[in-house]
Amino acid sequence: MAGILEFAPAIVLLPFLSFLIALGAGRYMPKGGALAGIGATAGSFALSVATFFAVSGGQNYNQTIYTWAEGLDAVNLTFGLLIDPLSAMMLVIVTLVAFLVHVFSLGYMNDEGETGLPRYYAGLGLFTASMLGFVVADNLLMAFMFFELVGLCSYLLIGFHFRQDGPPSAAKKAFLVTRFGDYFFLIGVVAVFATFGSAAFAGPDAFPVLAEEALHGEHSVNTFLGMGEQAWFTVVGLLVLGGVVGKSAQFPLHTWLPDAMEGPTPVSALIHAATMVAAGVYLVARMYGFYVLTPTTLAIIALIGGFTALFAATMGVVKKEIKQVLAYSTISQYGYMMLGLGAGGYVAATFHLMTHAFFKALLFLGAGSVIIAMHHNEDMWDMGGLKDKMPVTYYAFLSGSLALAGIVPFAGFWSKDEVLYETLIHGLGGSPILLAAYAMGLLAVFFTGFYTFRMVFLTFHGEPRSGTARDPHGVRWNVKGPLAVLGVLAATAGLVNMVPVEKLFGIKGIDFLHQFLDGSFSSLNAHHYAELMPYSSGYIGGETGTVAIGAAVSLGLALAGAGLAHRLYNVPEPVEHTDKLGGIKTTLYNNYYQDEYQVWIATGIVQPISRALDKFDQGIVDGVVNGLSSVSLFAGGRIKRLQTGVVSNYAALLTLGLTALIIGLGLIGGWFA
Amino acid sequence: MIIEALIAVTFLAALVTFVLPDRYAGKAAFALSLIPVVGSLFMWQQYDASGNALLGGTVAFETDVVWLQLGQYDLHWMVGVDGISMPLIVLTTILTTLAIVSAWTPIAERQSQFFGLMLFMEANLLGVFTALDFFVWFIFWEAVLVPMYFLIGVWGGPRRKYAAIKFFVYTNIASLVMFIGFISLVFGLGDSISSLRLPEIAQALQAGQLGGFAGLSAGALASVAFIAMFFGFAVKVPVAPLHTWLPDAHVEAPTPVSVMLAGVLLKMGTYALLRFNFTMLPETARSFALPIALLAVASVIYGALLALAQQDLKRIVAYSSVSSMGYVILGLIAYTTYGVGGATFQMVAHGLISGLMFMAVGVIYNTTHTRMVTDMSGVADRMPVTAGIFVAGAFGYMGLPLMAGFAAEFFIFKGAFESTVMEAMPLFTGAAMFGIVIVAGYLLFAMQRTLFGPFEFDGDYDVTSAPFHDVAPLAVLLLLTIVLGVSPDIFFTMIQDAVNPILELGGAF
Amino acid sequence: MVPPQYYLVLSAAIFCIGIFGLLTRRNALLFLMSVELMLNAANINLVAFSYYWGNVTGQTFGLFVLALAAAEVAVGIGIILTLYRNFDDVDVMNATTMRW
Repeated sequence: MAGILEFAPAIVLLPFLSFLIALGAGRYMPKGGALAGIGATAGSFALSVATFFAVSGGQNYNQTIYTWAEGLDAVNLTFGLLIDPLSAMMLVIVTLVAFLVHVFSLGYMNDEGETGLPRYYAGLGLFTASMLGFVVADNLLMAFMFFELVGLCSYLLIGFHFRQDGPPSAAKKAFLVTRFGDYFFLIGVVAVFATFGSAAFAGPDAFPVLAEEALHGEHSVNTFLGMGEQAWFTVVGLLVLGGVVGKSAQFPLHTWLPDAMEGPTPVSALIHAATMVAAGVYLVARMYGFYVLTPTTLAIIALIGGFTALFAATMGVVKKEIKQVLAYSTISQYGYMMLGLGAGGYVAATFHLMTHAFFKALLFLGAGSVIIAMHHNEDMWDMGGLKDKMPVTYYAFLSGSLALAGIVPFAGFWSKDEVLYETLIHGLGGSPILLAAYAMGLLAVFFTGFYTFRMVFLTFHGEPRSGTARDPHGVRWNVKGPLAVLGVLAATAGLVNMVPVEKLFGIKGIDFLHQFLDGSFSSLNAHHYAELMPYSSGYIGGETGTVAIGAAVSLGLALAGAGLAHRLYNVPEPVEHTDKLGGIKTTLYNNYYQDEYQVWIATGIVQPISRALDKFDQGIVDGVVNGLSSVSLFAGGRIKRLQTGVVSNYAALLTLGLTALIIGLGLIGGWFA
Repeated sequence: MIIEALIAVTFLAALVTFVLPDRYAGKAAFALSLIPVVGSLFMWQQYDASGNALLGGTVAFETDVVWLQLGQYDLHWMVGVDGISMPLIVLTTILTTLAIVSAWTPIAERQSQFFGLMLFMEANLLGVFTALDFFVWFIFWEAVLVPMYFLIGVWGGPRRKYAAIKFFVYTNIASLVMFIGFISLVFGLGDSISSLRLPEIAQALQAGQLGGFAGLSAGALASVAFIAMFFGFAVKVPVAPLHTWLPDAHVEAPTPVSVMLAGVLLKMGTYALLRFNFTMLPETARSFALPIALLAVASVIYGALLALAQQDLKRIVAYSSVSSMGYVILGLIAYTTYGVGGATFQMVAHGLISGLMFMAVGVIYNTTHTRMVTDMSGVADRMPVTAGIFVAGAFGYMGLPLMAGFAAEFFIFKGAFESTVMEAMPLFTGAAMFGIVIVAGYLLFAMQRTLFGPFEFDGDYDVTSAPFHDVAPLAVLLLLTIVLGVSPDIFFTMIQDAVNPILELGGAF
Repeated sequence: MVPPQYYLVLSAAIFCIGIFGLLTRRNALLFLMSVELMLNAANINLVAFSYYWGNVTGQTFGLFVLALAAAEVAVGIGIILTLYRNFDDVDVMNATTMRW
């Protein structure tokens, strides 16, 4: 395996190559360029796995590979690769999901006779390449650049069906809302450069390390606006967090994500599971060494995460379309990851990022399979009874749902439980904010269980409620294959990090992920973060007791939610029980009017301001310019009347002028003195 | 001698084109305009300057001969190139050629005059960017206005006369004010200079030779001269609130002329600001940091908000030019390598991207004969390639990484944020950066309405794919934008080399 | 010898008569005559000073002016003829097409 990490750039470049091929030659190729994408992502995946094992073996890689802008007497701006356990894990996730999505697309796009396939596969290739570039970025600037490219690709893919009204609008919204977050991120990048003179994540001039040393007074950094170091780092951290909130669809910038369902379903899978939305959380994890230095930022991250988890879960309860439910579940699950990061559970959040990638990709692809079967009808109230007609999809989807709901032993249980556990112990250690966030996260578990199984029961159980549901369209291997792979992963991925089992039964050494993430550079490993963390831990009835209580409560709540869904919806003819909520349902269905107020900001505030400014510009600013010209024209128009055309007048003026001249000269010359 | 040859050949090309029959004018102008392109690329390849041309650096391709005498001053024919002007020369020649190609479709009458004037303008622009003697520079500077006046006034839209006169009078008055400012500096320098060569003047100012004049002390004279020159150049840039000639000129001008106007003519203003105000009077510039930064932020935000209110695609791009040029001012006042260097880089980047956007709007206009956002939708269905490039260009304008616009904007933001001219520069930078959100807003809205959605078009014209020679210039510009974005060092290294001496300038008084 | 003041007074008087005519008359012919008066007033000055200083240059100039005046009258009469042809009149108040 020696030197395999030298090939890491190829992981990024292969999908980029497939982008170029699909864009340039896709229309001349069979399957519209899909094969190039599949080949490229398969190659990337293979390389990623190799990289992963190399990293497990203790190798790390941090190399500048390209100087983007060379500063004369100023800092260089560079691109580089940072391969450590975190990025290696993410590489595997991204390439695997991208590969499966490409394969799935054969069934979802090619078999369904979509047009514009080269554009689609080009978009997928660029999307994958951008995300991989982001994952391996060794500095914040490079991360930002690929972060933005990810945004571009989401725009292109969400708006894939550009001939309809909805998708272009959704694409625009997705880009604009995340752009708003990225605005803060960009200030953050600039501020990091200005503060530390470097934006590297690792290495001798890594900015988290510089920040840590500055706080210990070992050397000084530039701070601005008269702030102290702690306060300034908090500001910088929050600025970067703006981009995270935008991309990871956290409150209040989550509104783009449900609309983004306008994109083709495989794209949704890619966006939600492994690329765009994951990018935000990954960024926090990537520069966790910086965040962990500022308790205020951590608390804000935890609060945003906990609140978003609950907030989004409540909205998921009432949605009709299968993809909408999944969209809100995504927002909610990323809320958990943020909660984990904010609460000091670096490994827990990373763990949840991984398991979520598997089960959410699975759920979206499963939903895609259902949508193919339902002839592109997404309304769950038209489904029902699909269990027997599409068993592969059903069991895979069920595996993903169990993982999402957090039922033991599926993947989601382990990771979500660890997130909540970390929040709980650090909250008990004297941080009431974390306890509040924990309460919200816990409540969200119940809702998650409920909406997940409401979705499962409505879709697959009961009697078919429409003609298409009675006679669904079949799906082929290219749909079933990815589902099967992900179904297995969703069931088993949690086993890599069974911390509760370890703690309860005292079996040492089964927290593989912890060990793996500890194998990074000394400034980037989980152990180092734990040392820096501003929280202390507290327990109820000892560590074992806390583990048991935490796991029992969250599992209980998830089962309660699932049970309620079973009771209400696992019947042959389910009815809209949520209608009984009345006004609350309307509010939930309208997403707490979040979209309305954001649209109102755009159309109710910004547009009138811009129109008023336009009037001001045309009326006042240009008016002054035109006014000046009118004044001179008017004055000229008056003065020209001296030119009467009558010779006598000219003669008189001439005479008068001569007389005046003589008198004037005389006065000056003193003739009359 | 290569600069003289370049300018002379371009003048000659203009003359030849002018007398050719209309039928051949377009093709001939394209072929002839390739000569300056090759010439400028050759210059770039042979380029060996270092340092700033005004501050004692080595000047490439320098010629310096006494031309004639005016009182105590020798007027020199002095031309030369340094790291600031070299990229702009390449930009000018390439953009002119592409603009000429893009004019083949829309310009249907008096072609030989049109293309002749385009080349005539190019020659003068090359003069502006190479002249190092004030007298020579000023002649070229003013001479650029003449072809532009006719290009707008003869081939323009319905209100072309208004726009042309407004453009001419506005910028000409500005030149006058600038001239007064500069000449007062010359008088203030008194006997310490014997010619109007810019390096001599700049170095005399650095050496503290500025004396009082007309009852003003040296410091007050410097301030007055700075303000007068700033006003003069700010109109050209344009800086809000001196921008109102720009939308009118752009809307009325035919597309290729808009390309030249936004792509190169606006850069004359920022180029001159950098050469005159910020190089010759650095201390005064620093003392005016607050108002200048305010103007920069106002241009960015105000221009962007105005663009949001427009329905005419060309007006949108015109106002967004105001916004983008605001970044240049912000970068200039920062007085950091990345700030001033980024500002210079932005001149090139914006030249390419705004040229691209205007051309793309023009290609759509060629088939639809309307530019109003409300008149069409779903154009991407009929013109997929054009729409694709339009989208790419728009994202370039929004500052998508790995395209030239992002590099320039990031350099500027970085430079401005860490600037030491003012305590509050981070705040100004943060405020100006909000422009990137608004620019995304109006371009995305415009694209959504015109390019996407179901195809709808009320006009009588058949909306079909654009011919190859319409799309090719777009593709070339897009490619250049991406190349510069992936590898900004192509120009950024030489730019930094030329701007770094400016940053080291201390106070002269 | 007549002192030069007398000539100057005469010249000034004729000049003023010329101006008076110029300002008050509307007939173009009278206009021309007034102009001739003013011209000759200047001529008197030339001759008078020439005589006074004993220098013939002034006398020469006087002769030149006479020749010039003749030419001027020719042009002037030509203008008046054109005026008459265009406006059917020689009233200078009517010919105002050149105004503004």
